[in-house]
Amino acid sequence: MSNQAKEMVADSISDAECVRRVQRGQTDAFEILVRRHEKTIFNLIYRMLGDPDEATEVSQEAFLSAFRALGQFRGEANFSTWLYRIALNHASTRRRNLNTRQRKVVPIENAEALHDPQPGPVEVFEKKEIREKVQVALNQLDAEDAAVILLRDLQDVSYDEVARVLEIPVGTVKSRLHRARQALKSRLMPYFCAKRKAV
Amino acid sequence: MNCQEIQPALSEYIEKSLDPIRMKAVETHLISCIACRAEAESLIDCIQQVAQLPILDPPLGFAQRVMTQVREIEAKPSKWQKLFTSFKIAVPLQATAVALIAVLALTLYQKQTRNHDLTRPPMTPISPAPLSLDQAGNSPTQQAFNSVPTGSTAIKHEKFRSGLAQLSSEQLDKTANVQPSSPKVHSTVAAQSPGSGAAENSAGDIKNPFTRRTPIQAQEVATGIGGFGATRDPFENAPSLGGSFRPGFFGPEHFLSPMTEPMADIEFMVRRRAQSRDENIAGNDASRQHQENGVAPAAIGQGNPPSVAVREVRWFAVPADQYQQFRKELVSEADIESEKQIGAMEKDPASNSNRELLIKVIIVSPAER
Repeated sequence: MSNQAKEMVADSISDAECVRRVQRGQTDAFEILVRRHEKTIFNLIYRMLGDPDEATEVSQEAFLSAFRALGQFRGEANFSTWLYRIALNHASTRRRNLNTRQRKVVPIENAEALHDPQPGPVEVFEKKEIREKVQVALNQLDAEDAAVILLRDLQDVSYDEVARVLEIPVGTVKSRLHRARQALKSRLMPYFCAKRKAV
Repeated sequence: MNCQEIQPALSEYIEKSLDPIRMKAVETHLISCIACRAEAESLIDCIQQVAQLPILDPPLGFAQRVMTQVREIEAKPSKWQKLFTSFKIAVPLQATAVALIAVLALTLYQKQTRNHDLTRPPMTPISPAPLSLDQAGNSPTQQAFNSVPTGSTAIKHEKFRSGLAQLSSEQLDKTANVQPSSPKVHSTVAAQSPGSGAAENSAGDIKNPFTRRTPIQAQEVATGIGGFGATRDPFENAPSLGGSFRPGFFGPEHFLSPMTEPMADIEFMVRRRAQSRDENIAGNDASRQHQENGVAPAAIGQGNPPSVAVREVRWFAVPADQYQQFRKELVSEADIESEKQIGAMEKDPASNSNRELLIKVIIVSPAER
């Protein structure tokens, strides 16, 4: 079977069915889940940590933890919700460990550049600088605030799902999100003010 | 709405997630409030900056590396998986624990049951009937007081022929009083006085010639009776006077000197039946000579088998017309080995209804050959 065919077959199988297959012993079905959610999980963890190497390692750990715990997954929530929770837990743990060291933002320059079609040099530099600033600001937030901002603003996850991932009420999600955005704004305000003045 | 109420709602306003009424209210406030409008614009920038962060692809081979480690995990199950479950089969921990507890409880129960059986005192076997029981199952003591079949005769020592020492009335009273089941014997014997005639033995008194009387202690007989003396059995087999006395047909024992032995009208030699009488009580002294005082024939076969062969001699004074009854009862108690008439009398002792017969009974133990 060609890779494209495999992808088509893989796309036709829901997360729930993949989970059932893995629980019945069909380990290959887990690869479908990995490929389907690797980008989301990687980006979430990368934005939580700010380091691609750390993000890669933690992302692998998150998937392996999910595989080990898949026997206890009852399907009460979406697999993605459950996976988010595992990933954030791993990221928060690693984030705490990294706070003991000086954490630096290690941008993935080449990858980020590909996202800007026909960028000019200035724009590329500015955008790169902004992203670094934002990442630094995210790194300085509390893990809970960073998580809610990344889930809502970066991943575009609904309020309800954010509530399920974080296991908090929807109202708490909204208030926490507003607080986190204001905290982030306060860290980015000097840059934004300077930019406006420059403009 | 004021600024303090508006600013917390700005995030939802920006995302347009407020209800229409509140949306309108915030919008109206922002038109007129520069500070809240600046705050809203700052929030929009932050949201856009985060939203515009690039979505990056994971490193090449990420999925393959994950699956490689997944397969390693599958090949080496965890400790719990080794013990209980794979994804296929789940062996509940609780079920295993319950099974182990059940096995342990059963083992302990069996062990306790075994120990209880071992520590329980052994069942006391039901002791067999004492060997001294007679054929009717009466103990020797009971036999001593049981009334004998009809034809009992009050035995009066004073009816012995010359040469016999006579029991004092006092001694007779003693023996009579201890035999509550034989009131007639009581009265008859108590009423006897030395020298009184045979006629005083009324027919009513004869009903139970072998009424058991309380055995007289050998010591009493030996010490309290005139003419009676504790003599040694010339054969040195008779029980000693000091030994305990046992009741029975050959109850009270009175030792008679061979020199004072009267001449019997009839002499029986009888053999006690085996395991029927306790001849150990008689001891190992010479055989004794006895005077029977109305002791009912009873268990010759009482008591334990004698450890030594002893002979006893008993004397009975029986009215002639009661002889057959006497003989019948003697047969029921012992095996008659010989019977001979010694004294001068008619051939048929029973025909002499007017006189008493002095009967000598030699009792041979079962062990004697």
